[in-house]
Amino acid sequence: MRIALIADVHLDSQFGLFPPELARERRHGIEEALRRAIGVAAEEAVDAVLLAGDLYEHERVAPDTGELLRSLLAEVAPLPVFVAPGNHDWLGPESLYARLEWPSNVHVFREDRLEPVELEDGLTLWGAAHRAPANTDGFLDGFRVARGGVNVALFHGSERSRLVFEHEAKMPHAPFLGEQISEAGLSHAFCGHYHTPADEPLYTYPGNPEPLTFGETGELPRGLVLAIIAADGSVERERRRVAQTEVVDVEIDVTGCVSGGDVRERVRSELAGRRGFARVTLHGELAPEVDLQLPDLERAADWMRAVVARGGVLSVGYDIEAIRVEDTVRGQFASDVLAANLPDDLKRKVVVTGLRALEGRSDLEAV
Amino acid sequence: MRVETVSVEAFGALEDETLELAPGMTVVFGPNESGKTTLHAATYGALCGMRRGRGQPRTEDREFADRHRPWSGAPWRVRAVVRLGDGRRIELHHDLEGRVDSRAVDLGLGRDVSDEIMFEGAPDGSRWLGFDRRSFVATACVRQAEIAHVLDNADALQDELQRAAASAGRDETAGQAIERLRAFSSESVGLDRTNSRKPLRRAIVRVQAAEAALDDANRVHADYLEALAGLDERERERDEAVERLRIAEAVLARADAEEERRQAVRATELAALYPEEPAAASGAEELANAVAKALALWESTPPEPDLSGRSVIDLENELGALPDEPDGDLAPAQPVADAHAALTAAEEESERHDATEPPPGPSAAADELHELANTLAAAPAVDEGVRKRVEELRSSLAAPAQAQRVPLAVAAVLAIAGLGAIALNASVGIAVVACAVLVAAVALWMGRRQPDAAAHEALAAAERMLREQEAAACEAEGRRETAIARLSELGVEPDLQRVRAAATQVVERAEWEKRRAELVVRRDERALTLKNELDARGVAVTDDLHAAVHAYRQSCREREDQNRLALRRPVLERRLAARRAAEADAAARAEALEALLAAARRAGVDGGEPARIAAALAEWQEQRLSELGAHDAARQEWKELQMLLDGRSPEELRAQADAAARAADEAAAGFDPALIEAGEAGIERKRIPELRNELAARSRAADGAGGQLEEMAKRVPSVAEAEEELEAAQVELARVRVLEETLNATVRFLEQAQERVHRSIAPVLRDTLRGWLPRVVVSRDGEVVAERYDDVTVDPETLSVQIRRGEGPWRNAGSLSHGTKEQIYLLLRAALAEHLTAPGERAPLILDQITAQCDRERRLAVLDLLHELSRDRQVILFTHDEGARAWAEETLDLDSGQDLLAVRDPVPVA
Repeated sequence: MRIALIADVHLDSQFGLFPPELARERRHGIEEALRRAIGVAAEEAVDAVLLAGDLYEHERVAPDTGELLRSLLAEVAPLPVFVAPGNHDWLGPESLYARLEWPSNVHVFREDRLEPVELEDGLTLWGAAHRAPANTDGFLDGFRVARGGVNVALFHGSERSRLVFEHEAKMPHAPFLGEQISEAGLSHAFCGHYHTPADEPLYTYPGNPEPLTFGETGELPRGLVLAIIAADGSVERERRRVAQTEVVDVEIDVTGCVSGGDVRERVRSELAGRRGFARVTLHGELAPEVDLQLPDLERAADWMRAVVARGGVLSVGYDIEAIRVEDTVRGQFASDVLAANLPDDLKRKVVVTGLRALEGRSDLEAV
Repeated sequence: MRVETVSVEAFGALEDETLELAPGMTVVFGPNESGKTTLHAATYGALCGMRRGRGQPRTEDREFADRHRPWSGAPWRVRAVVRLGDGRRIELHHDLEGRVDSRAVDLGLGRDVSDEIMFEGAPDGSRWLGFDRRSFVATACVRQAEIAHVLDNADALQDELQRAAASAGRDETAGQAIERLRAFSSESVGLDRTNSRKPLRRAIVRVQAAEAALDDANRVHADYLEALAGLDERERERDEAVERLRIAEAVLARADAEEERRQAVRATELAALYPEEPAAASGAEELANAVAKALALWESTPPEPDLSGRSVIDLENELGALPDEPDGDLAPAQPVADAHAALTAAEEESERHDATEPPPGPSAAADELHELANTLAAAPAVDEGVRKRVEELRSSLAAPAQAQRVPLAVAAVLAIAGLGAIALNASVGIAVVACAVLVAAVALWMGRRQPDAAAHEALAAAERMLREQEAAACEAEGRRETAIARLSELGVEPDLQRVRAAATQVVERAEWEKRRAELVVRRDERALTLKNELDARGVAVTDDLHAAVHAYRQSCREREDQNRLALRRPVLERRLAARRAAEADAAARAEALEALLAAARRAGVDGGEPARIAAALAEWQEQRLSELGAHDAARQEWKELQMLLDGRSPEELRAQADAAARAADEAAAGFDPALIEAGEAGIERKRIPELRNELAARSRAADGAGGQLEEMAKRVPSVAEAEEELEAAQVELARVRVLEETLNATVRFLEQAQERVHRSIAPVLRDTLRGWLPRVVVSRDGEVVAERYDDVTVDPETLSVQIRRGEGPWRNAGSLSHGTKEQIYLLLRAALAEHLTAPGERAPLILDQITAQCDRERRLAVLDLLHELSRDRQVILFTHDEGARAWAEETLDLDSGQDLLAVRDPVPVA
């Protein structure tokens, strides 16, 4: 049995870092990634497509998203598609799953407990749905398969031991432990929720097909997982990248730059050969005379779709220790600020701003 | 720090030249184009070097290079040897072109000490003084242009001093910096006021608008989702209405088809039975009615009654002879019987008491008789002993020897007599004994006294006692005689026992009479009770109550007998009624029988017993009804046939039924047969219009919802885009807020630092100025006046100076003459340099052409002051002023080497 696993597509997601036209482009990129993932699954002639939740975001779903999904999945009929709604596309009375007339090849799991579907003789797929946006109990709690053969599961949930690898804000929806899979009599669980890919012996997280934010890490390619479920229940996986958008995080050391032009040139140099969307984080020591304007940097690499610049651990090359011992207003100011109970970042900005003001400069917004 | 030499390898027009400098004041004089200003710049360059860094050079660096780069193209290098405050001699070597081969070497140790003074990429000798090359040139290294500027604008010097206080003269004053920050804040942040158009307000408005837009987007989106769900619901309701109608129509089609099939079958059957219309029914209706009436009358008659026994008349006569029920007691009443028994018992007890009547006693009261008895019993008499005592005492008075014995003897006699008298009369006896004791005592007493007195006293006493006893005895005797006379009057013998017995008889008689009176009263009460009872029952009562009771009892027995007869009346009345009913039944039965027989005769039914006649008539009647029913049924079925056919043939009906069955099958196609079967039982035909109306309404609702949703879908804003706009607005607002916070904090800290520095620098400057103030030469209108100021204040914020003499008024230094003001601010500069210089060091003053524009008096005053200053620090003055040269030649201590005058020739133009 060969299946394709896709999860965490997040159609209609929002991209607050970008201006409206680029955010729309990013959402379109998500649609395209899903289209490619489904297309690859059909080309590879898999026996079934498993969608492990968060296919779209209910609270932001656009009017045409339902038709998009319906037509996309109808195109691959009669290839069976199994959907296990997640916490973002939870199954409620207003959800697409409740109101759309899905093609006959699409099976949506509608209960918040695992229910069986026979994929083939001797192979059963157990699936479940989130029926609320939060507080869904673990699907494996107290669950035990009630039939022989090979049993695998499809659901949207949080493997507890992986929480530490996730973003702090990641909530443990429908939590479970890896060992619960085998204790329940399941050979494998195909899951969604964590965007960081994971190929563990007992479970698989495919990861989001299209980048959703900067800083997405992980050694495995994200997106589509093609898996062969053997007769003994073992799973052999192959990953395919389906995203065409490149989203990169770049750290740039601006030490030694003595002008805004220097910094701009360094950004261009670091982004050379890259494409797509980049987030640039500046760090290092800037010469005092540098007038750093982040919007200028965001226009530095015009071959990129977008550059988002931000200040990281930045310092300005004033000899603060020498200045603070001066018997002048400048020295007193530096000394007072450095001794003040202020957050480090604010303290740095106040010192730089004050020294610039004393120098008669007009670039008084320190990065 | 003291600069010993400055050597130029190539600097502007100068090459290979060394300038020796004195530890005190050095005046380098030369005419124009002699390289003084170049040397001044070379001295600065040899001390401080130039900034070495990436990127474009600063404007001042570029201008410095343009002006002083060697004309010859030789290496742009300068050197200086300085002695520091700690005694070290240092050679500073600056490669001003490449700025690579620049260094500072401790000449004593031969060690490179460049690291101590590295600043902006190159060694900077002013670092040892606490300055840097920018602040040094602004503070201690005074150039001609600055002096000229100060002279043109008096406030400029003050401004320069403020810059020195703020940043050692590098940049702006603290006030300017604060103003710049405020201006920047005003433009880049602004205030959060409604009418503001500055970034902060714009960012807030943008966030508010984005929040409102997001709320609106969420609301519209939620409405859209709800409308979607509503559309689904409307469509589902419409589909359900369609299904309900179709099922109902299928059910009714099935029912119609079945009905048509049934009618076709029925019509076929009836057509076979009635090829022609059946004939109408025959008459005999009146006979049938008579038979029915006779049978009904006969069947309603009662069974034949029993008329044996007494007739109605007999019974009525017997009833008329019966007495009425008696009025009064039928048996003696219990209250009468009880009252009679009580009276009888009272009379019997009274008789028994009379039988015990005692004889009547004397006519005196018992108490009186007892008193009389007591009077008789009392026998008072004179004590003889007393009498004898009297006699003895009388005689003893005559025989005193015996006086004692006689009384004693008398006493003894009295005692004996007294004791004896006690048996008869206790009081008398006791009195006698007492006399005896008294006599004895008197005798004894007399025996001890003189015999005559005692005897007389005893005698008197005894005589007195005797007289008293005799009087009492006489009185008692009188009472006894009176008692005896009374007893005699009463007829009682004056014997004590008899008198007491008579008293007892009187008591017993009185008690008997009292009891007798009580019994009489009780008997009378009971007689009255009985009389009342009898009266209540109407019995005539005479004096003889017992006879009345007897008569009452007799009358009771008579009423009882009458009552027994009267009780027969109800029985006889019931018998009379029953008899009358039986006779009426017999009459009705006879009438019914007559009608029955008449009907039988008319119907031709044979007679016999009435019951048989009735049975025969019932059979006749049943047969007739059956014949009528069959005829009616035929007529009805004929009518039914005509209705079913309705102008068609039975074959045509069957074909129509077959077509209806096929249509019903088509209507039911696609539905669960169970649904159709279930519906067959309950669907009513009138439901079809209702269901059609419902379907129309549901369709309209679904179409309306669909259209509404379609319109709504065009207007649904993107929630994601609204969120993105809000996030962008929040980011911008956060940026402005951070900027606001940063700028506010910066201004706050700058103001605070300015305040602190001013507070600390003011007394330093004041004290320094105060020490030098007496040296200031005051001129007015070009003439030196004999005034000297000795007190000074410095405003810590503006660094404006006020001076006064003694306790005189304060004068603003700015209002003084130019020359005086120049000296004061030169002192203030020196004081500031002193204040800003690192501890242990003294910054040299390197001055270029500062007296160029001075008149003689001002020049002298300034030079004199500088000379004074050179006692504490090195002063290097470059000048082309002949007056300054003359002053130097005249004033400087050239011989000792403390001061130096260096005269330069013009530099030849290459």
